[in-house]
Amino acid sequence: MAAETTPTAAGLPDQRQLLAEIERDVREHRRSGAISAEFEAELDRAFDEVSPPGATGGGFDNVVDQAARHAIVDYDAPTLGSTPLRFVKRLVKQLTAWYLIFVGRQLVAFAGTTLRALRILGGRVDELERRTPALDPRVQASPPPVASDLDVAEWIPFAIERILQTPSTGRVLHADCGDGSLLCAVTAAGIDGYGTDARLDAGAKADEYAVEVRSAEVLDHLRTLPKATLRGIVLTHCVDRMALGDQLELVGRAADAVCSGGIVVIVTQSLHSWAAGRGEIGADLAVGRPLSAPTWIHLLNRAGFVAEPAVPGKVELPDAVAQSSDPAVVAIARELFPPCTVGIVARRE
Amino acid sequence: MKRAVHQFLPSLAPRDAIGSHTLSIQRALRNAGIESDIYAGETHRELRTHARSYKEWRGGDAILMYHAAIGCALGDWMATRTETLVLDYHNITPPEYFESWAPETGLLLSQGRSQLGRLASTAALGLADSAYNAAELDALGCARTAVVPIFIDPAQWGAVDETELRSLQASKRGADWLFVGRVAANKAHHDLLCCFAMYQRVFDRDARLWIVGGISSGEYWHALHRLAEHLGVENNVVFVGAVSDGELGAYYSAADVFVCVSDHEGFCVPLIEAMWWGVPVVAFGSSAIPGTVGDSAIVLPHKQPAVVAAAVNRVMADDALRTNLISAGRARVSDFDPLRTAATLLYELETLG
Repeated sequence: MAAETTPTAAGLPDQRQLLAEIERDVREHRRSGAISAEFEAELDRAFDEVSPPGATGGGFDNVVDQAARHAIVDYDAPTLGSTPLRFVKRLVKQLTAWYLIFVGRQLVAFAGTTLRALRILGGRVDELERRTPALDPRVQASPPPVASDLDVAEWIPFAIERILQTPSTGRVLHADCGDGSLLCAVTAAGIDGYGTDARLDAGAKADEYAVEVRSAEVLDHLRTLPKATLRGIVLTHCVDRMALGDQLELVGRAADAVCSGGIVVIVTQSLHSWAAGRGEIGADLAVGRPLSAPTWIHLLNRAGFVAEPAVPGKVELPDAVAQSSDPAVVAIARELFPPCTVGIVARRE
Repeated sequence: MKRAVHQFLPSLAPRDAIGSHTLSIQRALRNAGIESDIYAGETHRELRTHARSYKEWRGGDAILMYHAAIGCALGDWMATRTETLVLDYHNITPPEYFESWAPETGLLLSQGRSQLGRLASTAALGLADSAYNAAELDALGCARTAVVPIFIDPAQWGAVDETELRSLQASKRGADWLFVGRVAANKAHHDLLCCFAMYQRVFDRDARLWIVGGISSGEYWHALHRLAEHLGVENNVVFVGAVSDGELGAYYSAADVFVCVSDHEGFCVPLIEAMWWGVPVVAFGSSAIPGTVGDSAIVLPHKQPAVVAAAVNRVMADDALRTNLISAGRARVSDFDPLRTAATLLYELETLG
């Protein structure tokens, strides 16, 4: 594998290529079973399991429990030391015990009352969360689909054409790149592209097609990027499953990451199509749902992009309707069969 | 430029990056014919002859250089001074890393950040170890900032403890990982243990991990021991603690790779030390770390244990990469030549007129 790496002038391999090779190596070990998903999951939770309650940010109740532990004043001060020092310490301890206990009880009472107020406040926040589905831990516990049934094939030429119109500095990121089909086409068009996808098996096709895919959620990845480094970002799938707060953060992060003149391409499902793909229960209980094209355009413009009018996707019509030249039929068909997807392009100012 | 630049810092201690930096600045200023004394909130007994209490400062026509660190009375006192103020910023760890493990330290860090905000807006010049720190000063409204690296002078490090080195080498069976730094949650030793556990399971059963550095939080330290046992790596992980310069040299000399997965660093001197000792570096690219190592290390965009382990394995298995990392590291160290740093510092101070 080492021979694949192209050395730079300084004799060191290109970092980007080296990282891609390391990620590929990891995927091979995962496929072979040398790195098991169970062990990775165990490592993820191991520190939480050995840490005191609340120490690793494990929720409000745990932190309050930790505060309660610290709220108990220990009057039994250690009296270790050399013999004369130990004697002095014991004497001071006995002489001041009444005073320390008097003050300590007031401190404990204050801490106890404050903690009680915090727990009441926590209960009220729990009530609020129960009325806010995206925050409800029970809803978050039901895993959303990692990718929708959106087929990006029809949008590949559209995305490539728009990217090629941007300044050629920087890379292009495809978030939730799935099997990497769009990424392959982008790379084949001479664009320096890479993808992110949190699914453990998402890199399998990437290896086959020799494209770079990083195992990460898009927001986690964007949070680590320096400002104004990307030529463009293509957002598919993830935009249809994120909660509103995450979608808002996504726009802000994209505005930070894309360089001046660069673009964001969003391909999103229509709400109708998205809901139809999930069924009533799945749609009702989903943490996130697609935004409409006007909303995306509004958010992008507000974040420092200049968005173009939305581009509707293809419409699959029944043959009889598609072949009809009757204007009335065409008008009715437009209402009955809206496009399943919409494309939005916005350029960074 | 004023012919006196006096330094103020919360605590002057030996074997401490800021303490050594302060003493180096004093040498550089005095060599340039500039009067320079050190005033501290607290002074370790070993350095008692090097500093006075800040309460002894009687005022005068001088530039006052304040090394912003943890919150202290000195920080509030600095805000009341009317002399020209230069802020030397080495970064203050965000308090949230300490709030769970050492709440009292978390409070002092919060106070330090609050004081920093007040001082940054009144300082005539902000000096920062790294571009990362300079960006923080800029964001706080500092009128002008400049990057002046921390003084790193390998000539001060002393000789390797040969007995310790022979002992480490004699017990070697696999790859030896090293990390040097205070044992504190922002350094993410817990993630390092997970990365090491992955490496040991997948690539090298005989690998060892040496964790060198004093303890900032006892509770965190105990949790790390429990984690090592939980992961089944307790026999291959050595919590070395604080060491002398000679012992530190022995660990660097014996190590195969320096692995840093820290979440927050303002500069991270051990990265430069490792490169000086010829140890290849694999690091998670958080905070100031990419700026410190430049292109001379493997800088990872995230720190999934599998990825860190694979990166270390690559360094161990690929001789050409390893050799190139070592030589690039040594070249990087020369960027922090103390004479060059002194010249940069003097130039920036000259601009104050």
